[in-house]
Amino acid sequence: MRVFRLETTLQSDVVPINPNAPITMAYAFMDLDDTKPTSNFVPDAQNLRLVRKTVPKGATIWFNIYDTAASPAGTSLPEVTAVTIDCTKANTTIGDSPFAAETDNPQSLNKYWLGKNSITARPSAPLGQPTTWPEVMPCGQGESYGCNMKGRRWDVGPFTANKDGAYEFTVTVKLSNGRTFMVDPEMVVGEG
Amino acid sequence: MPNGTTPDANLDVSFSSDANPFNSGLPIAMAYGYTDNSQGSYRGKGQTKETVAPGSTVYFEIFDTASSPTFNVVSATISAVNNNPGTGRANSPFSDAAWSTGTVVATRTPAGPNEVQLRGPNNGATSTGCNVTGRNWACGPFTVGNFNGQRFEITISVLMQDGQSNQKTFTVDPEMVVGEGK
Repeated sequence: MRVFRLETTLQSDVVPINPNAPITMAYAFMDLDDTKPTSNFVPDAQNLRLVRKTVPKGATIWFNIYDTAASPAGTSLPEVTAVTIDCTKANTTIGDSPFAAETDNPQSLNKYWLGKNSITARPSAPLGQPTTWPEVMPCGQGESYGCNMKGRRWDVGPFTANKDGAYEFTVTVKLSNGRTFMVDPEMVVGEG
Repeated sequence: MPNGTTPDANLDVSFSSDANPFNSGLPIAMAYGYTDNSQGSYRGKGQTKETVAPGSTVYFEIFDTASSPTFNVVSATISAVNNNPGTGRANSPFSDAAWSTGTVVATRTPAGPNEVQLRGPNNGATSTGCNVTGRNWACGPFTVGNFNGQRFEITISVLMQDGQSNQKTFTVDPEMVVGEGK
């Protein structure tokens, strides 16, 4: 099974011109060959081609967010409050996303895409309460191999890309300091 | 704008030179955003591929969002790859002589035929395309050639250096399509 990460990086303390408009993020796709230990993974130049990524049908897709801002002593950095993954740009049909529901796999997070082409992941519900949304999982400090940066990391996923086609995502990240970041990567599911 | 000429479109790239790379020998990804200046007011267009009309002009601008930047731009290398199959492919979207090979290098002291003037830095500059403020460098304007329908992947690599000769390279690969439609 091939595993890919769509890594997006933001700087939570950047100064926007318009605080009500989204700020652009950097992004890169990473191809994680799960036949090799991740700790030995060395990115090659191809992984820094950022325009679009072709992934084989059935590939596992993670969405990762990294905040590269430094935290001055005695201060805390904002948290991710929502991550919206929207496929509507290239696909106008409701439910047309690369992540078709897997009825034979109740554990699959593709269920959140059923009948939708846009989902919003949020932090976990209070203990004991079920969530009805995919979770944004804080992961502490991490390294973005694709963007070649270090920072605080959050994960959304995994999803299974099981529907052929060319997709243009808009990934929007909202932070607890009120800032919004956005990026528009492309992904082709099919002949990988 | 860094000079008195208003181009029809800007391709802005932004990064923080404070970024801490995982591998110091590899480039660091940066963000980009287009700005359409042809409708009377600057308007950010996000990161979808930009369609530029033949005869229009495009500026490339670089923004460092670090709060106290210590790095300066040494050079910006901009190269184009034409994705169209078949014959008649242009090397780049631009008709300027400097783009004849499909690659230009912007430096403070351009020398070769494919080198162009890098202007800046300007502090406190604004990027409408990326919605950030920062320290700014720019090159252009370049004139879009009569290459209707041809689609290009543009790679922008910015080499930065500080006073101790430490270097970082930032890179991104936006797309540009030549045509009349927006």
